[in-house]
Amino acid sequence: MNDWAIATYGLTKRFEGHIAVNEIDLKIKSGEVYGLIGPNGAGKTTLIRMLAAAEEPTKGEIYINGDRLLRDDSNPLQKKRLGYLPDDFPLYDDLTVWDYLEYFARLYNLNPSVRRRRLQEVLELVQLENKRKSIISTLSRGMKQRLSLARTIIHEPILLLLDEPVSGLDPLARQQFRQIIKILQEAGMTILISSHVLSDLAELCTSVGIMELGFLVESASLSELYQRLSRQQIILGTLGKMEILQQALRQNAFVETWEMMPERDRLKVNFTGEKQDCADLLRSLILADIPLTEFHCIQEDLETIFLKLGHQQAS
Amino acid sequence: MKQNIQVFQRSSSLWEKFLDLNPQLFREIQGRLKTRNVVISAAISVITQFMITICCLGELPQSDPKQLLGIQYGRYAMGSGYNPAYTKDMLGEWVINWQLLWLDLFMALSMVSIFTLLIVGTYMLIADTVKEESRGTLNFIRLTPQSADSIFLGKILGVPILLYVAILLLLPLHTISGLGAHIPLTLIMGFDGVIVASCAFCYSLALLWSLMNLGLSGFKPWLASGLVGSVLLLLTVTVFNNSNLISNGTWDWLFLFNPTLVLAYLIDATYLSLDKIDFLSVENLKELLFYGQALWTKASFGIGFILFNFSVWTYWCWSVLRRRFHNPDRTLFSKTQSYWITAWFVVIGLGFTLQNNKSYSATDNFIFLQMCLCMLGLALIAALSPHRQTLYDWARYRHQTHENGNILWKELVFGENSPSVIAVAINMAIAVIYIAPSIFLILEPKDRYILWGFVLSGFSILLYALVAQLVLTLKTRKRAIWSAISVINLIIIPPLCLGFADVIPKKEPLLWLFSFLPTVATEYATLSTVMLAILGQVVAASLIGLQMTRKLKQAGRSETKMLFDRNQAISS
Ligand SMILES: Nc1ncnc2c1ncn2[C@@H]1O[C@H](COP(=O)(O)OP(=O)(O)OP(=O)(O)O)[C@@H](O)[C@H]1O
Ligand SMILES: [Mg+2]
Repeated sequence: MNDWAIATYGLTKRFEGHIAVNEIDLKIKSGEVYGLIGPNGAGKTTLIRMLAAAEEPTKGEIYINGDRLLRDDSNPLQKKRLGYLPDDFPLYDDLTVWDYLEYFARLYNLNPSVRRRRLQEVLELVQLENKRKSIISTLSRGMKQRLSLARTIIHEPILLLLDEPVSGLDPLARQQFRQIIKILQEAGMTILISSHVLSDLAELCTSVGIMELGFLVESASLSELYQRLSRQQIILGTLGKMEILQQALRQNAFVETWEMMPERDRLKVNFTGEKQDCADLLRSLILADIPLTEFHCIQEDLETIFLKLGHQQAS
Repeated sequence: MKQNIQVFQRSSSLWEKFLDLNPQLFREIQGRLKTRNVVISAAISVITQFMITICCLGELPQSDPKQLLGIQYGRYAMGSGYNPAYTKDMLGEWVINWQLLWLDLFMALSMVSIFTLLIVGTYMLIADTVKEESRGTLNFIRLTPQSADSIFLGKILGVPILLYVAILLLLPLHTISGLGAHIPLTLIMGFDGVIVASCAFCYSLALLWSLMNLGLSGFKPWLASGLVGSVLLLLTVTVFNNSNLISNGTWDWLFLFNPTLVLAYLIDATYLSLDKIDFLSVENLKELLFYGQALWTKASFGIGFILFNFSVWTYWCWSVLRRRFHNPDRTLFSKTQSYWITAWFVVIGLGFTLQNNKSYSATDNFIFLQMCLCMLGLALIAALSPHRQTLYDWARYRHQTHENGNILWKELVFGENSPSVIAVAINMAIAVIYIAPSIFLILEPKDRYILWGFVLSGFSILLYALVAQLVLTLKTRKRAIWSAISVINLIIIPPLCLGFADVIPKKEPLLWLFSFLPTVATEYATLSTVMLAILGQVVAASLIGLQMTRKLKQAGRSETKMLFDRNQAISS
């Protein structure tokens, strides 16, 4: 049990009249970046809040690195291991960036000797050094978000819980954010991210969990998920007649179906074969004298997989 | 500003170490202790002292070498009466009662400190905490490894820091004037100790108040400080102008929550004649008894007991605070806490009830105690009853979540989230069982009907607890308010109806036995009538109890169905 960074057993949260999180057995290995996706109202925030001890579970147990998580004074050590960035990151508007971080460094009992250095470090990491003297209320949303992230990691937690950390950021800021996450992962943190930006998650995560109506319907490593749920596709373009190309495709056993692309001279083929079969297909098409302009293998991305699962909105 | 603090910090590493101990205090000081603010509060403090001194000095005779003004009267002349005439001694100097002047100064400064500390301090603390709670920043602090103690201590010491600065600047003049009035230094320090204790109590209560989810956040600080202010004013006004305040009743307990009471000892130590100072006399205070013991005859005992009283209630506030901080969604008290609080309440309350053996006042005291107990009961109902969802979850999951979930009685007596009824019953039983022997020992046989009053009102409270809990399981939105309304109706309407219908307790005691204060009728009721009333209440309680059990079971079932539907939706 000790090798799980997070392990939950039968974790359940009910609100008035409905179940937000239902009997979830979540297991996350140390060092993983785990992406949590799901439609609005699926219960992601509720789950993360419970993992951060910000919400009391109705039922079920949470173990962080093998220790039971409880909501009282009894576990200051465990609280030092956790870093939680909520989706609404409230801040003290009257403090400066530096004072704010120092306050939290003190709350987390950081040694006075390392405090200064650590503050410097995290400010550098989130690129707010030049704002250290600014009052928080004067920061932009993205800066506030980065400041919140800095607060979340100030005490060097080994488990990060990030709830929609990139919502509201511009593409450049998102790019920077991904960079930071990668640095943190290299530093050995286990990170749980919930996000609606699936392309980000696809780039960052090692594992993905899909929530729906309070259930964890899928939880697997990213490669496994691709292997299981994503199909190989080939984009084909020709100068010649479409019918001839289609004729040739029909002969191949690995070609399942295809659809016309909007440009009329291109096809998207769902292909079940391996790399070798792909090469064989290309050779056969060329041997059949078809004037190919494009032959392009792609994988279905996370977004398509997610849409394909046809999830239901909680309502 | 920032520079300022840093200079401050570097100048003493002790200060630095102290701040390192409590991050919350550090944050409050950092946010508030700015030069400008300190200067303002210091100025206010100095101006206040100046004004008070001027007021006192205004009573002195004017220098009048040509004797134009005639005879001058004033408070500080030597002589009896309130405004005697000033006289001159053989050297032609005015004879002035300097001691009285010092005492007046001392009293005025004490009053100002007590009122500002309690009222303004309470306001500041509540406003600050409510703001943090509504902004959501308190949730972050909850997630840090700091204990509730350290956070709240930091808040109590830090939020009113400017107020403390102002009061500290009052302290020198306060002490000097006390010494000038010939009050022993130990007594002055004892008095200061009592003020500190009263602040500790009041501030803990304030924090507790600000952490309750009552849904009136903006209004909270005003309400609380207004309440503190009016109670304090009332208690202080009665202590002044009333040298025979102590009436040997249970309500004398209330005065122990007023730090100004201690001034009686301080005034006594000056040996000034009391006709000039309208204040509670020590002679009267000495008559106050606790379990028949005169504890207030000596200043040390008296102050000691007042400190003890404050500490007990501060301790319990603090223990509820700790619980509240970490579990803001749970009921205010845990069941175990409620037993302790009731026990302390009854032990101290009964102490003040047993004042003397004069039978008529003893029965009055018992009736008053019973009313207090009813109030406590209502408070316990509010503090112990879980709401609908919690209750349903408990009913559904108790076998899985709680260690002793399978032992129903343990759950009901000690468990979290379980219905409050049994716990309320136990609290009432603790009270009645503790009080009953003294009723038999102290009261004459003809007055022992009081006991039935206690028993019946215990059952009434139980009934209210059931009704409250039942209403809390309804599906309406504002069920806390509905539940309060129904209990209040149960309290008010029966006596009103009986009153309108001309049913007098003397003639028809049975009906009155079901009211909030059954004691009005127990005097006239026969034993069998009382038994009938108890039986009636037990039957009513069981009916409501059954109804609630049925509802809980039904809820469990429908939730299972909901789960099943969801599973279907997912798998389809
Ligand atoms: N405090 C609350 N009281 C009542 N219901 C709540 C509360 N918080 C969340 N819920 C409900 O719980 C369900 C799950 O909410 P949650 O915020 O966890 O969803 P989410 O997956 O984070 O959604 P989103 O993607 O929109 O952030 C929702 O149906 C929501 O209405
Ligand atoms: Mg969410």
